[in-house]
Amino acid sequence: MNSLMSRFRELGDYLGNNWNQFWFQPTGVRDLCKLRIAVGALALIWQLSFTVDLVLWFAPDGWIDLGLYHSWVVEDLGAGVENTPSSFVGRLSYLFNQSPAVLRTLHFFGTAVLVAFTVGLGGRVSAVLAWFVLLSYVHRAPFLGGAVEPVLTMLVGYLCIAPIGVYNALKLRKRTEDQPDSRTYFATIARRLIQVHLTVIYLVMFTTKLVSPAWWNGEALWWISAQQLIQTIDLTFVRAHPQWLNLWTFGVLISEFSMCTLVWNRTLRPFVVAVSMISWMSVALASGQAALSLTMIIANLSFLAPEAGEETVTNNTDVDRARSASSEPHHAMGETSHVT
Amino acid sequence: MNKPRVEISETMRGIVSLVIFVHLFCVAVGLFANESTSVLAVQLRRVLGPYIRLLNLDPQFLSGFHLTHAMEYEDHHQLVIEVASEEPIYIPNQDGSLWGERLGFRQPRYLNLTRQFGLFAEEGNDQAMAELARAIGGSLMTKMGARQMVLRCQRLGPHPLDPVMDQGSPPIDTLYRADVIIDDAGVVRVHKQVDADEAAPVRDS
Repeated sequence: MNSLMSRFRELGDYLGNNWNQFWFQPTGVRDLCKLRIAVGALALIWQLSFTVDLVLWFAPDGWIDLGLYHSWVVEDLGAGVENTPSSFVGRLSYLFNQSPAVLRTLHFFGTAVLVAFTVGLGGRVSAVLAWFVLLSYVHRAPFLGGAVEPVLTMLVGYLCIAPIGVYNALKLRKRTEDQPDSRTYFATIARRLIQVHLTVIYLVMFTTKLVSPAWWNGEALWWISAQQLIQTIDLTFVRAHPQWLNLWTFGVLISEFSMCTLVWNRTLRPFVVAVSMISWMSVALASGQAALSLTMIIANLSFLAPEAGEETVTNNTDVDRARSASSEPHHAMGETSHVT
Repeated sequence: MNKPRVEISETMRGIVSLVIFVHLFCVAVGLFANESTSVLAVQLRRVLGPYIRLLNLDPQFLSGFHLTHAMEYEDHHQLVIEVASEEPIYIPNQDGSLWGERLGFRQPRYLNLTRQFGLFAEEGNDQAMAELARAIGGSLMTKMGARQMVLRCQRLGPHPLDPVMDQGSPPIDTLYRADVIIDDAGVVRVHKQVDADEAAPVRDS
């Protein structure tokens, strides 16, 4: 009995230690700052793409007025029937019921916030504001969004956790890889949340495909590429070579399965991520959804950052120098610097 | 190796671990329960709804997850606006120049909008369709100076894989057709067109 108890205790300790190492072992911030630039640039392009349609969509007499929003979003959730009409349905936006002039002004401020986030000004404050800006657009008309928005808001949201203002864009350019990096468990938590969330997304994509005959038959990429409105290339040649079509379709499936499983193997990770990126590029070619593929490629980069314990840091002077040039508070809670 | 200067306390680690666990549970519910019709999944989504929607963890308007099915509801849908003596307006159109560049973020938004409209049409949700027809009709007719137009929603089928079946023009199904009118009081009214067999008989007043 005692032996069994001690076995359970050992197992508990083992799991606990691994959990703590997975989530709380301090890691470097520099790679997250690079990821911030890529994510910020993408978010900026995404937000700027609303400029042309801003008034057409969101003005009081625009296409998506409050009547349409209520009918499509609130009533779709049953809030108007089972709850009171004023029930909070989880949608918050500063773009509701604004005049065209106010809309344009708010849009401009949103752009400024995303620029600040991208270059690394304002640290966590600009990150949180950037997240709020993105969510405001998403919540104003959630039915306009596709698969890009959940991934983009996820990336910006988790980057709010890490002290990503430590290195602004200028500092990153000047730094070389052999210089020491700021290490904090906030960076680990942010990176791990992105990785785990992304894995869940890939798992959903993969398991959903398993119930689709088109994916089982290896023809799915044809049905995606044969749509009338978005045809980037003429793929009619694959009709004569169905085995290539099958290979392509199953290749996409395998790369998504690998991103849920094999990507957690440290040795295989670079290969798996590279294959996934190629897979997304091929999907962009077939579907014309270049924005989605670019978003997923950028999200995949979160797996290429060094693991906890892989980095070598020689001293902390670099951290102090970086902080003194940034707006991050000195010795923010949880930031550490290792000397090896 | 020196000790870190600031360590996270055991208590704080426990609290953060709990928060992470609950959050990831919400992520999983938001994504996996999106299409599920099980009672438990529906109840979980209702309880956790405000949180998962607030953080955009819930792809409420994505059927499954994009690029996952290549099935019917991933067909493209298109709105066609017909105003007398004008060329029809297609939203979005094929070259993408007017209603968003093809490879960027804009055209997918129009595609998502028209796909949602198409889904409502297939569900027979007339109220939801009338809302968009009224909004689009009112906006475009004011711009064009027209008082009447016809709005159609059509589903564009893909080219068949079998070359023998490919006749050059893939199938186009009209899912919804309505007259949109600005009346004398300036109110935009939507009248859905139905087959003669479905229409109510004309009565003498």
